[in-house]
Amino acid sequence: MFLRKYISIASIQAKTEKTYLFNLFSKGAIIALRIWIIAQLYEASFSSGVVGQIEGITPAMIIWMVTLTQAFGIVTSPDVGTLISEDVRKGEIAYSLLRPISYPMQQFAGFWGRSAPSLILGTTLSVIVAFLLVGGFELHLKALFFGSILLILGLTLHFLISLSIGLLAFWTEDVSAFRWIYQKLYIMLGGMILPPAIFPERLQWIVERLPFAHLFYSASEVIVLFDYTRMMQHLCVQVGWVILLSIVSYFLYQKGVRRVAQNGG
Amino acid sequence: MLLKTAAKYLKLTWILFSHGLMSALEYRASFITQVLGMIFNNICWVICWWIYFQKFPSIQGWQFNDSMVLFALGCFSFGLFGTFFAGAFELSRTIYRGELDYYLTFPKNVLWHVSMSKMYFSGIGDIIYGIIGFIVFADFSIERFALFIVGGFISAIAVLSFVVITQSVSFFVGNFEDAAANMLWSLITFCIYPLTSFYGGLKVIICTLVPAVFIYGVPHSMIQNLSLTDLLYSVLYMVSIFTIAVWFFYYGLRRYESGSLIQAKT
Repeated sequence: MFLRKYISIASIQAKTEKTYLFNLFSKGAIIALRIWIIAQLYEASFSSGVVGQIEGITPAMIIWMVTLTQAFGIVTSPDVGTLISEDVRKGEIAYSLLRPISYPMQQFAGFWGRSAPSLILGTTLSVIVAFLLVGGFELHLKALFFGSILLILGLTLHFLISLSIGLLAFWTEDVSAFRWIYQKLYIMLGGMILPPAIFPERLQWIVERLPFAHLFYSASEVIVLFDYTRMMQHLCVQVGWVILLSIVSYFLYQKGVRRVAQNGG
Repeated sequence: MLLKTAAKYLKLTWILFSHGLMSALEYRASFITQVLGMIFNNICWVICWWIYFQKFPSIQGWQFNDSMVLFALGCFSFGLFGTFFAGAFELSRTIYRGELDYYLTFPKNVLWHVSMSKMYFSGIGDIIYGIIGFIVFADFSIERFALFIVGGFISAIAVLSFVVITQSVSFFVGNFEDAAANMLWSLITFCIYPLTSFYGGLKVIICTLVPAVFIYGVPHSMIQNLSLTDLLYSVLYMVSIFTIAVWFFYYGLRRYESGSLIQAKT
């Protein structure tokens, strides 16, 4: 009963997303183009002969990991942080206070509704492109199962970070600088171009404990290169960050909403 | 006559820019955060590629410094485009919502006016980073720096033209906003990758549909090789794409349907 209204929000958002098919396909096409670029980049880089394999991972595996990371990263558009900060700036968040619905939960449901069609289409297109470019890899069912769990947690983590950034608009009005920084951090440290396996050892240790590689990369690593110990490590770090960011966003929302009341709406 | 008109528009551009800047400076903290945020954003890319080139020092003859000069050029030109002509980036929305009426009532050039209707001052961060990035990573000389500045302006006009063409598709198909934005982001993507890595179908795409080779590649080669031939090619390409963009916009404008929207601009 409690969840029904949020499921309805998610389904409305999914239907809206599906209505604009051209838009949906253009997002998928861009991801496919990026994968093509990255595949040729790695092909050219490995063919230079300096490096044959990285930590036992073949070039094809790296391309598959980056492909899946890019495909899962399709959920970053449209940016949740921007949508929330717009609501805060325009004062539309005040309307949600009158409704029998939680604003963060409404956004969470909307995020999943918007993401699901793009995720399915983006992943399908990306898998086809990567398969045509580098061929397949050995996929285990357990890898797919645990990878999916890590993906759900990773997307939740992405939502929580974006929510926290969007809510900062209560204090800073413009949150674009925070969004760019977050965006660059997940592109740079989140395996969207460079898998953390490429990083120098110390940096790799730090990166694996930060949240950015656990948004989209850890799921793709587990799917392509299943290892039970690595999977458990990723899961523990992810759960830790999800709990921490849930607390942070909860307090930001509670504090921020009080500022709306003070302004008189 | 032509020079007189150009001078008049340059003066108007400067007036609009300075007013926009003054208004942005009213929210000083936000302005500074945006500029510094963009510089930080670009430094992240530098670190990203530094890590990559530590693993692969040369990609088919392309080295870290080549990438950094290309990236500095991309930032500088995109900064110029965003700071002065960000309105073009929202042209599609303005067209399909029938909001061009406001600009049609003015005696000045419609395309120029609508392009200047918005400015992203975070672009100043890109301009600053572009210049610093070039000084730090390029084999610096006065001639090369002069070519970098000229190349930046050429690329900026070519980017503007590309944006006008893709956004003007809305005159014919309605909402093309996201697709046009995605095409721009795809173009910009190529100013961070080693251009020598690409071949086959992808090379065809970056020479035609997303012309990164002409918008970034040729000016980059002009700067790195101090090549006047590449300067000539860059200018020729810029003039061609700009002419096509202006023609395409006005051709589309004939099909424009007003949204009969009454709006107040203060």
